Amino acid sequence: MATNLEFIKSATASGGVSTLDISNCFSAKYDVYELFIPKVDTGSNFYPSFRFLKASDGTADTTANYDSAALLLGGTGLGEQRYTNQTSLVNSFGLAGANDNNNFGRITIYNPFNSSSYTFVNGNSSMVYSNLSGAKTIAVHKVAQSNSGIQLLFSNMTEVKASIYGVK
Amino acid sequence: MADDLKYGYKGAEPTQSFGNNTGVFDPNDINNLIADNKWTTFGQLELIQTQTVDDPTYASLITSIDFTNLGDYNVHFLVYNDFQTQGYGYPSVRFSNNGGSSFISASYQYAYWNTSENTVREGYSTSDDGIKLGHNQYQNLNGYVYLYNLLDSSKYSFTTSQSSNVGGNNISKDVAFGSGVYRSAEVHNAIRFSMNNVNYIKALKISLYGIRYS
Repeated sequence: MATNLEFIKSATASGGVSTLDISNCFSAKYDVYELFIPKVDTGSNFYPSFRFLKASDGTADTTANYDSAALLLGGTGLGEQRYTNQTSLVNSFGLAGANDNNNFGRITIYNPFNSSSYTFVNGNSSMVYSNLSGAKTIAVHKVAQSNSGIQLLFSNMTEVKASIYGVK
Repeated sequence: MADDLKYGYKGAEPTQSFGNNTGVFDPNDINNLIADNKWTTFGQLELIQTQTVDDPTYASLITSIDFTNLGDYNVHFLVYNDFQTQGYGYPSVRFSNNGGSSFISASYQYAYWNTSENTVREGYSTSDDGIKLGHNQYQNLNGYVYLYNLLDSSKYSFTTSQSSNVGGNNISKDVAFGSGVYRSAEVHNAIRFSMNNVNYIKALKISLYGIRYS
């Protein structure tokens, strides 16, 4: 019997690319997903951002319908970020430094495949840029459509590994 | 692996992996595939160990709980409940690079946000003796910690966490969340969980899980 966390797929990136698509990972089988990104090495500093891939054609939804807010958790202090009507979930997960043996953390995704619901996200990141740079984040993709995947917008990736699971 | 009929095949065999098993398998094949992490079975939150403390008079003088078997996972999940100690303190984690013979006690970085009914507290450091998970907590503490890349010699070791508790004598209800890192690219093969490393533990149930394929 299937229980708890169910592995769906992993995706990796290297060679300096700046996007990583995890395609066809959302389905009617699950309402809630956990995305872990423990392996992050990049050639540039970057703000981790995300977009959803539309189930209709598999391409990224770049419309200005992403809102997010974060409490930034830094080793030298805390702060806040708020964004509305962006073309991605941007700048709400902290800042990652280049070549810093890094990590991202995890996000939870709600209702991405449900065509009658917005897609909601919360997460907790833990990275290094000079010092600890993390965030506790909430976000929403304000389009009632079916999304089949997620796109990572990182920068100059030399090593990134992401794994997504369904929550039963 | 010595098996004439490896994974249900003689001679050339198809590639076996999670979500892609091909063949007719006997119990021995299945056991071998499970051992090689190639057998498709759901439930990727895998329990490594549960430990409990029930010491109402502090007779055992327990100040910390150690996990020295971390398996082979990239991401670990540590969940605890009913954590009660002798006094107020900061729940925290430390890492070991020698299997738990000793635990690193300097240079941790963390930030947490802690709120109760009428007080918000922030805590952060770039050089402390552990990764603190919340502020000055005491009784009935419940929470979790995700730990990333502990066993990867090329990566720093990171945490994200969340907790809630009722303060001593029901004077407050707190919630905390945070992030942390120990900035040394080396293998950390044991975890220590404690309340400041000095407060005696009265009660605790704590479990360590690995997240397979992370």
